[in-house]
Amino acid sequence: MSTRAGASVIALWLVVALSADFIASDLPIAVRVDGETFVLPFWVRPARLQTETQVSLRGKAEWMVGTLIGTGPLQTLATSGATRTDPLPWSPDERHWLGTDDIGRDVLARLVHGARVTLLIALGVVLLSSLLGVTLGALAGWKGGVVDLLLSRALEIASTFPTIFFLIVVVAALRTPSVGAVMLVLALTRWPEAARLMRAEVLKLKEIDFVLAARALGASDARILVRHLVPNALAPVIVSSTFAVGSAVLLESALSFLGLGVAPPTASWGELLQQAHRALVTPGAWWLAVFPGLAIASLVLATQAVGKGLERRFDGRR
Amino acid sequence: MGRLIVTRLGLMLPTFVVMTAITFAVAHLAPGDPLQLSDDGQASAAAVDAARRELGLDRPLTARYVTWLSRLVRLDLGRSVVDRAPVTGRIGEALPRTVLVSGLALLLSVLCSIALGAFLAARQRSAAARFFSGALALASGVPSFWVAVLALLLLATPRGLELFPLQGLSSGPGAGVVDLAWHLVLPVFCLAWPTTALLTRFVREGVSTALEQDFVRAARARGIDERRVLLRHALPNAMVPVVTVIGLHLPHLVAGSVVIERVFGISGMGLLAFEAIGTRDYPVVMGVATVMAAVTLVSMLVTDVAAAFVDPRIRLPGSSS
Repeated sequence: MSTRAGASVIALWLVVALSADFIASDLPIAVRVDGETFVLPFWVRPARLQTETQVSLRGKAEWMVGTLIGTGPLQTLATSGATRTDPLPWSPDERHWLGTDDIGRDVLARLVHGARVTLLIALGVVLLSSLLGVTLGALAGWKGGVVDLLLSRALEIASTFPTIFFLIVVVAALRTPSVGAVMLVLALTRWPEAARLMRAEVLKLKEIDFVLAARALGASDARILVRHLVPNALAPVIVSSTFAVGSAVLLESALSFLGLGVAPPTASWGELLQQAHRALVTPGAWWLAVFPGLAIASLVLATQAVGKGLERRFDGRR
Repeated sequence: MGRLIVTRLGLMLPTFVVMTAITFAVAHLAPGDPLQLSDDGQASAAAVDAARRELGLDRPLTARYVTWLSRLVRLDLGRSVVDRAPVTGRIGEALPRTVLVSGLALLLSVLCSIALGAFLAARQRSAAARFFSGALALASGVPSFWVAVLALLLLATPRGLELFPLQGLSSGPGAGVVDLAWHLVLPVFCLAWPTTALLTRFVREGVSTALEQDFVRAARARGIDERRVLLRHALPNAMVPVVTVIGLHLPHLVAGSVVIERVFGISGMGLLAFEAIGTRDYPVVMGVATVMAAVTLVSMLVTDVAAAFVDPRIRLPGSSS
């Protein structure tokens, strides 16, 4: 995948995630029913539409601007106005483009809304862990001595100890984790990389003339670090953060796959794959496994392509 | 070298204590204890209290950790809170399964990645090399558990080809080596996949860097044939990062892959830990954590020593020679 293609794929998923409600929802974007007009009812949730769905409104409404997919991520068979009689899960048809799961929820709708959770967690994890890593790495590189020794040991352990084990223990401790909690826990396992890169860069830069000059001019430690060292040392961290988005997506989906991600019934890509695994018992439901996996792979590969592009850009030798 | 290893071992002890203490604290701070989670409402409050006292759950956390640590010195990991089986026994059952599966996977990926990496570096412009490079890039972005689910769907379910078994490592008691191998194919392949993608990148980078250096040019100038140049001169120089990556992978060898073990129903270390945490079976959780912490520390040391062994230029900090 080229850098540009990668960036496009990421942008596409971001748009999907941001506009998930406009793509797949139980209520329409706008509707006029019984002489009353409702705009964005899926956000406002007016009392009049409490028991309605896009399917039930279709007959009554004077006019309606529906969403691309007429069902929401949590809508089961009972409310989606289905007419098929074969047992669930249903294979893809003209109503459910990517099929349904074993209680009749639309896979495409869940995929679109799952993008929101997955992307939010991945981006949040990378942001948090980069902040933590940059701060600790810069401090260790600049201060040296005991601070550096302690951090180096911690880094060594954190990067060798099996991440998933730590994750399972912490997430199990949280019982039903929220998006923020999952983000924080994943960030705790991803900071060492940023810290290591930052430390190495600061060690390299701190004896270079412009830093010595700043010091000679009487700049304080904090000013040298924040204004001179960190901005110049950031390039490798930015490159690795881009790759880290991909691995955060993988890690989040692995957690959800184990049933330890964001609490159900919220959809995330890993949770969709977990459904696919469960459906192996009633085999043949290939659509449950194929599409969420493709979504994960496309996003991870896209971040890797962009990461490689950035690497080439920052690295003058290539 | 000997003195170095002794110093490193001395440094490991406090690290080990910190690592297990953190796991101990996190695991025990989780809401709910094993009695609460297995309570069916039948037991009287007094009986629950008695059981709690018997298991030591009424004592403060630090006291419990010290007790746990002093037992560990005598190599006693305690008994499972859930079924009272000795933890060492449970680990003794799970560990061989995990080591078998992940050991084979690591072996497979090391062999494949050395061959593939050397090939890709030597024939950068060939069509085959381009194909494999693309395939590797793809492989590194695809979640292994997705591949595992797809493989089961295609090759193990009645609607698919039914070439391989769905679950476990054995068809029943008394099943032979062939049966075991048959059960191992899919899990080993799914585990080896991402590691191979990672390692091949390192080997390719290493070999292609080495191929541009003077000693390789000198070897070629002496008329040594290209094959020998690649295998005897360039390849050994690409081994240091490979040894490091393998070393960093050792803890995972023991931890197993929870996800892969779950997909294939292999009751190894990953699944053991996963289920123990679900039931708040603290002794089992701590047992697995102990084994993992120990292997993590030892593999860090082994990696350093092995890297120095492969590349004599590396001088370890603290070595006098």
